[in-house]
Parts: sequence; structure tokens; C-alpha cells
Amino acid sequence: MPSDPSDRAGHGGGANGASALRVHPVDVVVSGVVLVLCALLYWRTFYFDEVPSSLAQNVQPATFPRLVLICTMVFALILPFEQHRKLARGIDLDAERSEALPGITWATMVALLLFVAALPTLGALPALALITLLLPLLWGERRWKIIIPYVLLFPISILFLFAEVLEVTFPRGLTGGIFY
Amino acid sequence: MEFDAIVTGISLILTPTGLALILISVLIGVIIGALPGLSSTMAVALLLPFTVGMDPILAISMMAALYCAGTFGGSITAILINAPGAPPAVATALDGYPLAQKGEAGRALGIAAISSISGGLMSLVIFIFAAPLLADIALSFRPQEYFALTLFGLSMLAAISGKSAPRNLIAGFLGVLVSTVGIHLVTGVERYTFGTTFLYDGIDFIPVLIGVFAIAELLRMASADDKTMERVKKVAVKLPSMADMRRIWATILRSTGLGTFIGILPAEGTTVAAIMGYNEAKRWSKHPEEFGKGSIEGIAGPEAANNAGAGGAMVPTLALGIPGSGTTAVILAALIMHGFRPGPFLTQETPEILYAIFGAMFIANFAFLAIGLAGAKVFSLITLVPRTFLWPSVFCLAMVGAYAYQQQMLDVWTMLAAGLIGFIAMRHGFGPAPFVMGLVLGGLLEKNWSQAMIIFDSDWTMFFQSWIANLFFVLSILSLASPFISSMLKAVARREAAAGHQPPGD
Repeated sequence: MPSDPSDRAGHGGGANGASALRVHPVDVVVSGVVLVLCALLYWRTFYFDEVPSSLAQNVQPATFPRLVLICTMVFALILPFEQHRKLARGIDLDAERSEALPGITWATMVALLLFVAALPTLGALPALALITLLLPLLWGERRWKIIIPYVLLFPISILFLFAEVLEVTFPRGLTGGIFY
Repeated sequence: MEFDAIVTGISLILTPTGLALILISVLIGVIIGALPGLSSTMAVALLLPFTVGMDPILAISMMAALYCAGTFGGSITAILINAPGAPPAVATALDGYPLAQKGEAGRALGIAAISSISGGLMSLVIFIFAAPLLADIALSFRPQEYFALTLFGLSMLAAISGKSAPRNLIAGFLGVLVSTVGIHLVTGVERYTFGTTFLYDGIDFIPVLIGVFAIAELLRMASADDKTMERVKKVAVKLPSMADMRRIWATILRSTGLGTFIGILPAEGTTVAAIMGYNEAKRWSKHPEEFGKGSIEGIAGPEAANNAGAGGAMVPTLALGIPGSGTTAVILAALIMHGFRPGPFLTQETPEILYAIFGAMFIANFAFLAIGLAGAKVFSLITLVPRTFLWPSVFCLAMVGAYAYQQQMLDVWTMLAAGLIGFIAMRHGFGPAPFVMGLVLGGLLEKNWSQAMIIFDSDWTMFFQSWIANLFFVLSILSLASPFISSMLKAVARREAAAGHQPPGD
């Protein structure tokens, strides 16, 4: 695959008019996702309560969201035709998505989800200490001389600031609260 | 100008606490600005929950100061180690780094600082006069005109910097859609609540802002390479000589005007201002061949423009309630959170906030000059902080901040969901800033649309009976068509250039 976006536009590009109508398979999917989402949300507006005209003053609750959804769907229809025009101008929309999501990103997502799920049970301080230990380790950090003081000091400082100075009450969890 | 409001506004920030908080914000702003990946928009979003219990005017002033300093902070690392800490500093790196490579890092930093502060201060003067004037004009707007103006603000998302105009618009309109969740104000009917009581009051700005700006970026950084940043050995800051000043003053003035104007345009931001400032500096320069090799005009142009853009962006934000950039969209959300009514009524109801923000940004300009220049070497060392510690820290702040806002776990889940969706959307070219602009403008758009429809008895053709509304509708169409217009103009220019190169008689 040529690295220069404008080179990639040239491959099989043909005439300008023809390349403008070429569709990009990934963007067909993206456009499809947006359209399906909008269609579902549009369908949902039929379940909004109807209000008598006198009360609604001619502004039914579903009208505005429907207008917004229609506009969004119109813009979504342009998406599949964009990539080739952009490549010709040196902009590559595939730059960030050309490779599959790395395992580390998936692992980080799972770690964040687990952390938020566990927060009320564990309590704020142990949960924060856990995430400040796990995320650096997950991302390949092995300098224990930095990790240990970081795990001990950072969560305590943050919680102290919020709990003592800003008087926020955090979930106590199994371990109970120290500052909160 | 009301003398009382000026005194009240300025006296609110000229207290020891006020000054200390503004200086802390400047320090945070310069640090965040210097760190690649962390933006002033994210910093303002993370700062929001800290300010919940604060005096609202002081809180907004802190954010304004942080915005100013963050815009400058990016240029320090751009010049010293060619790592622009913030997108607006990308243009500064083009000539700042080559000049630093020639052993003139101090001179480059001095020119960047003087240009930034000049651009920032001059745009503030324009801001303090233009904002009340604009608000006075906007006070006479009827709902249909305000609706058209807000629509124009949204349509500018097509022209905003970014990879794709349709993607910006889709993100913006989805933001508007999210703003419709909850109880419909006219009828009291539930919309998109899916039967849960959690969504009765709608989806709160704050956790969503933190999610799309902080968590989405964190996930992007999860797979980033660990770049070994260059350690700067010695930086002695050197203020520009008279000869340098004679060469750059016209560039500073031109870029200030340009940056302020671009900042005032809804949705355009400091990045666009910086790039245009650089291009114009090159176009008007007597030595365009020096650009890219360490031209001092190439540093002054973008620096004056991006800081002027920050002042300019505050004008529509405060006077019209329409954000001038991504960061001001977050500041607008903060104004709403603190109970203000952004828009023309703000200058009538709480004029002191205008002067407090002016004062805070004024102080911030001088403070970042002192802090930034005195500590340039220290700030460049900040880039040595490993991402393996930086981003977990950002996550902790984001999580604690999202929770602290209303002290409920639902906000933390909202933040995480916004971050995950935002990350996937970013991979496909949908930016967080357009979404946030749609989110904060959505309420204003629907309110004015509803009021106009009630007045017009649902006759939508009456929208076109106002010349002001028509003007904004035409501007909206032009800005929606701007990507196509610019493509066509470029194609025509290419054809003409190609025709010019053909041999005679061909």
C-alpha cells in the first residue's frame, strides 16, 4: 500500500467524476451504523406521548428530534463517497483505523470497565490504588521504584483533595473510608 | 460600560485567593499545553468538577486563564523539542524548532512569548469592547433570528478544522440529539428516557465532556509508542531585539487581527487561527524563502494568531452563548453548570463576569510570560513524564471528577460510556469538539425553534420573513457548502495552472 494518500487516490482513480462516486467499504459500514442508529431513534419518537394541540402549542415533543435525525441521516449518506475525494487532497481518513485495535487497547477498555464496576464494592481508595498499579503494569511499566511511591501517594493525594478540601463523599466499599 | 460592574468583576479576582487560583490555573495550563496529547480543552473539562463549590465568577475566570496559558504552553515544547504540546502549536514548530536547532532556542522562545502576549492582549481589548456591543445587538434578536444564528454556529462545523465536514456535522447533530434526552420543556413529555428515572433531567454535560476529551484520548494513547523525548540541556531565554521587533511587529498586528476574527467565528478555533497566521506571515514576508528554516516571522505569525484566537473565541461564547472553539464550548457548559445564562442576557444580568474574565485573561497573559519563560527548561522536561504514569493519573482525575460533580456512580458510567463511544468514533474521523458544541448548543437551538414555532402558529415559512434570519440562513448554506466551494476553487486553480504551462499554440 503506498504511503502517500494522494498516490492511493490515484490507483484506479480514473476521471474525477468517476472517482467522486466511488464508495469506500469501511465508510459504507460507518454510514450504515449511523443510519440504523438514527432509524431506531426515529422509530422511538413514535412512542413519545402525544400531547393535545392546545397544550403542546403546536410543538409536539417528537418534532425537533425528528428534524435533527433527518439532517443527520442526510449527512450520513455522504460518508461512503468521501474517502476518495479526501485521498486526492492528501487526507487519509483510514490513517487511524487502518489497523485493527491492538490488544493493549482492548485490555485497557476491559480494565476501565472492571474498575468502574468494582469501585462501589472495593471503595474509592483501594480501587484507585488498584488502577494506578494495574494500568502502568498493563502498559509495560516495570520500574518498581517509581510504581510503588506512585501507587501509594497519588490516589491518597487525589482523594485527600476531593474528600477533605472539596468535601466529596466517595463510596466506602468493603474497606470503609479513610478520608471520606 | 458600567463602572460598578468593572470594579466588581476586577475586585473579585484581585483577592489573594483569586490571584493564587488564577496563577495555579496558568501553571496547570502551561504544563498541560506542554504535554503532547493533553489539551487545554481536556484540562478545562477536568477542572470543572473542582469548581463546583467555588465562587462561580472565580471558577470561570480560572478556566479562561487556563485556556490562555494552555494555548501558549504548547509552543515551548514545539520550539525546544519539536513536540507541539497542543494542536495550535504545530505551526509554531515549523520555524521554532529549526531556529532552536541553530542554537537560538532562547530567541525563538522570546519571540513566541512576546508575540503571544501581544496577540493575547490586543484581542482582549477587542473582546471587552466587542462582547457588550454584540450582546446589545443580539438582545434585539427574536427567537427565529436566534435560531438562525445558532444554526449558523452549528453549520460552521462543516468549515471547522478536521478531516471531514460531514463527520463534524454528524457529530454536532448527534450532540444536539443527546441534548433532547429528558423531559421536554414545553410539554413535559419524556424523550429517550427508556423508562428510567436517571434520564429525566437529561444527560449531564460534565461526565460526557470528561469522557469524550479524557477517556477517549487515554484509549488512543494506550497503543502509542513510547517516544524518547530529547532532554534540553540549556535554555537562556532571550527577549527579541529591536531589530527583531522591527521585523515582526507588522506580522504580529496582522496575525492578531486575523486570529481575533477567526476566534470570533463560531466553531473555529485557535488551531485554524495559528495555521492561517503562519500562511499569511509567509505570504506577506519579504523573506518567504526563510520559512521552514527558522524564520522569526514564522514563529510570530502563528503565536500571535492563536493567542488572539483565544480572546476572540470568548466574544461569541459570552455575548451570544455560541462557542467560538472546543475549549469555549466547555467553558460555556461551565457557565450553565454554575447557573449563568450565557448569551446576550449575561452581560445584562451579570456584567461583572465579563470584566472578571477580561481581568483573568489579562493577568494570565503576563503570568504565562513569566512562568513560561522562567521555567521553559522545566516545562520541556515535563514531556519526559512517561505515558505509563501520565494517563493513569488522568484517568483517576477523570473518574474522581465525574463522580464528585453529583456524587453518584451513574456519572462515572456516563463518563466511561462517552469515552468508549468517543474513542471508536474518533478512529472513524468523528471529532469530540463538534459533538460537544452540538451538545451545548442543542438546548438553545430547540428553545428558540420552539418559541418561534409557537409564535408563528407552526407556519415555518415565517422563519424567512426576517432579513436577519435570512442572512444567517444564507451564511449557514455557504458554510455547509464551503468544503465543496474550496474544492471547486482549487480544481479551477489547478486547471488554470496546467493551462498556463502548456506550450504556445498547443
